Amino acid sequence: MERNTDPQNLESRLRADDKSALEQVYKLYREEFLNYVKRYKIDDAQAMDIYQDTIIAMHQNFVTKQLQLQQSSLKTYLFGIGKNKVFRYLKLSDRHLRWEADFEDQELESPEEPGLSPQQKLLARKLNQISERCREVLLLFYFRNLTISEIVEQTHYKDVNTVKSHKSRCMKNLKTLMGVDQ
Amino acid sequence: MMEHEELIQGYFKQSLSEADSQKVIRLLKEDAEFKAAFETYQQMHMAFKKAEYDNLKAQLQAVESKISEQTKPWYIQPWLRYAAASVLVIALGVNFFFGGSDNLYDDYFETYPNVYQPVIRGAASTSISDAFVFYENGEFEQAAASFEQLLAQQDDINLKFYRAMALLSAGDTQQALPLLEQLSETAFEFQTESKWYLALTYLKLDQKENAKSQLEQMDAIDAEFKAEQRNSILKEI
Repeated sequence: MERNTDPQNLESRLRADDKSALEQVYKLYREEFLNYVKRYKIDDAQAMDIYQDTIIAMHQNFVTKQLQLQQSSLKTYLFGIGKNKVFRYLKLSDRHLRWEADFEDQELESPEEPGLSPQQKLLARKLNQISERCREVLLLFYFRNLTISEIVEQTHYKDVNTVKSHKSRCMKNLKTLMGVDQ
Repeated sequence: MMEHEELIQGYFKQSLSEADSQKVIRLLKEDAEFKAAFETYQQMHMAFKKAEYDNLKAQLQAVESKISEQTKPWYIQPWLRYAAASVLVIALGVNFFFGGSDNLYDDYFETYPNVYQPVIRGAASTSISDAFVFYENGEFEQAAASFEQLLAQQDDINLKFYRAMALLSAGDTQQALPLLEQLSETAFEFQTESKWYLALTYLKLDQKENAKSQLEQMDAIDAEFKAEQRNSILKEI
């Protein structure tokens, strides 16, 4: 089957949290990005790490905000995030302090790598342990920010009330699960 | 209650209007029930973000290990090295016959991409993003004018760089030149790029010595940027 690389299509697949689209984008810009990072004299392993984080940040912006790129291409957007990450890395490693002033106020759509509390880290682990069905509904609601009716539209749930009751049952399970480890 | 839920989701989706964002801030202060719901949501959102991050990272690392098994970088494969070398020789030969500084400019000039500010739909339209929309659409004269207006309000070195880029792409060398001369002497993100475009501009104006000096200075800042192109130009002038 022919794989669709049409950018519009890629973007809507990213919005729909399609992980194979993510892999496609990853492969598409990998060489170019790594070459681009070379000029900042960052070692290869680190560059690779930055590229992967850039791809993930891009994906999460599509998924959580239903991002629509207008004039800018996917590539430009990706490299914009990447550039930001490169500079944050350089700043952290204290090598390019002179950039600091210029980048302090630059707001790109790159989520902060959040400093998570131990509680949140534990919760994150638990989220990978709950049942598939529970994880799905909670993810659609809390991570992808879909409303209950949007969830009904995009899944097999038969109506709003079913989603609501399933969701609250899952939250209850999760709380019990959290209680066990505390 | 439903309304609260929408507000919270909108907040995390970053799709709230200014008034609704204010409302969230007010409710967080005044309404304990809203605050509790907000905090639960936030906990869940952040935890999912981390869980998804870990999963995606593992997925990409698996993709990566497959790729590195399959491919060696091109410069390690011998025949490609020869191919690259011959392309260079041919390119130099062509330049030798059709040379002249203005041609060098045309050969090497390309519009610098917008890496400063991605244009995003849905974000409140600011004049900065307007300027970049013009730029990305290739309406360089309008882009240059917009950047100029912005610069009248705030002195921003990066915007100055893009104004110079817009002017160059619009063919306005005379106005671009003094800007680039200033930028190339300033330590900032696009200094190397500024020197590169200044060198090309000097070539266009047939000021070879000036061009040469800019190209040579670039080595000290960033030895790799356009290294091949710089070497070919330096050999020719």
